[in-house]
Amino acid sequence: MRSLFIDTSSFVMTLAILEDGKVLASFKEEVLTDMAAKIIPTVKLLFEKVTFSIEDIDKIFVVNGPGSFTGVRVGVTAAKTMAWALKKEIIPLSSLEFLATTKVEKKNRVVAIDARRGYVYGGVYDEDLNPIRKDQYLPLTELTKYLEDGVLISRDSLEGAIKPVEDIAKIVEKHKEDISVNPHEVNPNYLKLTEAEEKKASKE
Amino acid sequence: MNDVIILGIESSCDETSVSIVKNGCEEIATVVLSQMDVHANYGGVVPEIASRMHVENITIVIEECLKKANLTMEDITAIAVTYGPGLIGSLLVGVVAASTLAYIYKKPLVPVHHIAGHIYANNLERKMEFPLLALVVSGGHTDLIYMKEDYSFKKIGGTLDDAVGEAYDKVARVASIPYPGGPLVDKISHEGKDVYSLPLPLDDDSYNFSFSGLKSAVINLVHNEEQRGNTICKEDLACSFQSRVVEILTKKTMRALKEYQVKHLIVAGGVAANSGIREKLKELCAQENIDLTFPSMKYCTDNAAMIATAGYFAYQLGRRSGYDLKAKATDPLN
Repeated sequence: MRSLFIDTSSFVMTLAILEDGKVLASFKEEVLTDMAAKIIPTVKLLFEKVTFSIEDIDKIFVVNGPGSFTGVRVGVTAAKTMAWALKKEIIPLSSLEFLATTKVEKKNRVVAIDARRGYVYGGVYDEDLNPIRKDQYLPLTELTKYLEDGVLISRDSLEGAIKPVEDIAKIVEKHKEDISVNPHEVNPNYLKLTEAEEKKASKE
Repeated sequence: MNDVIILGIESSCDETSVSIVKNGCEEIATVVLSQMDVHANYGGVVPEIASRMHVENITIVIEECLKKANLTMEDITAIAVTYGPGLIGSLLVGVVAASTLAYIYKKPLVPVHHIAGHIYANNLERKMEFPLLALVVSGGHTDLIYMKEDYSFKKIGGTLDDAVGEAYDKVARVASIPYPGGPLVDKISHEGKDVYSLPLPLDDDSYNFSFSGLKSAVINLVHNEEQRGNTICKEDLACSFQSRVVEILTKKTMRALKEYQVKHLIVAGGVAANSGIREKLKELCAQENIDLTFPSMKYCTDNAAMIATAGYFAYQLGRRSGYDLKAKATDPLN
């Protein structure tokens, strides 16, 4: 199975081409501006490094959030347009689950992405990436109880945000048999309403 | 000569639109998915909601348009996309989708300026003749542009603050006229009389416009009347406001036509639908023997047919972008 992996949900753009569980080519770098202008040129460059072309892939895996709203939209728009155009299977993945691929000694991977004002996009996964607590927008303090037998993983540092290729392979392997979603229905999973919607809801 | 078929994508504000236009004049199919109903709940366009809806709709709209045209991507010569100006988050969705399609189908990618699109919307109904003057009036723009030939844009004047459509929406809000205020202000202005004393904004020798002073005058008027316990007649207020806007827009436009010795005037943008502007320009242009064109209502608001049309002329001039096309919130027209 050949696949393309796309994650633009943080300040690091992660793109990878995989074949049978192995990463053949990847790009994992900090992209602070114009991620939208870099994604397709980088995908093109990656396919120049392998022996097959984008038409030859079987599946597209795209991280659809939570994370940077704009960032997520860049990856999801590219991925769903590709999947639609190429008639390929597309499988959305959680950015928190992707973070949870990090190797730790304890049972729980308590993953959190800073959402400001004491809140995080957080979730808890076991070592096989099974969710123990579903991804949610919540106060960080609500996750502390999982830390008794767990390790907090964030991607606030560049070190944490740039993932080793084995981690990409791990999450793709875990979801390789997932049922493909209609590309039109692959959308960002923000886990949070817009401020305008929140304000409106609080008034009603 | 082979037909040039352009697929245009527009997502600069709150409309997700895709269109296919042949040879820069023949519209084959257009799909516009407007979010206006959603933003109406918030009294104006909410950028983050707009961006979210563009992502949800973009591939659906592309597919619908191709179906409607009974064409496939293989039939398309090039892909044109609005790269700016507009809401950056909204623009990004169209730009990324367009770059992706261009890459997958190995098609040329043509960047189009949103205002070039509004101007070229006129070419869909009647061939544009040069030299011409374009009055671009919308929620984001109030520009006078001189065009010697295709794709030569010389901005001779523009707004120094609010765009004309913006001023309409703000006045509507102050007068408690529901969203979208602009068209409603226009509508009720015909039922009122010009009784309120409002200033003629930036009545000078330049071709620039300024609407913030007029807007403030309306706000002050409403507050003062309220404090005196008087009720404002919305129809009269709309009439007085619209009269000043129409007067200054037409006055400077007519002067520019004279100075540049131009016999063709085109009016473009969402506010080109304004009946006050239409009627006054028709009257003045008839007097001065100026050939005046307005796009149909459907081409006045944001749509991708205008982007595909402008895209055709940009394509013919060899304008291309790599897949690294950057969306720009602001960018001069050139």
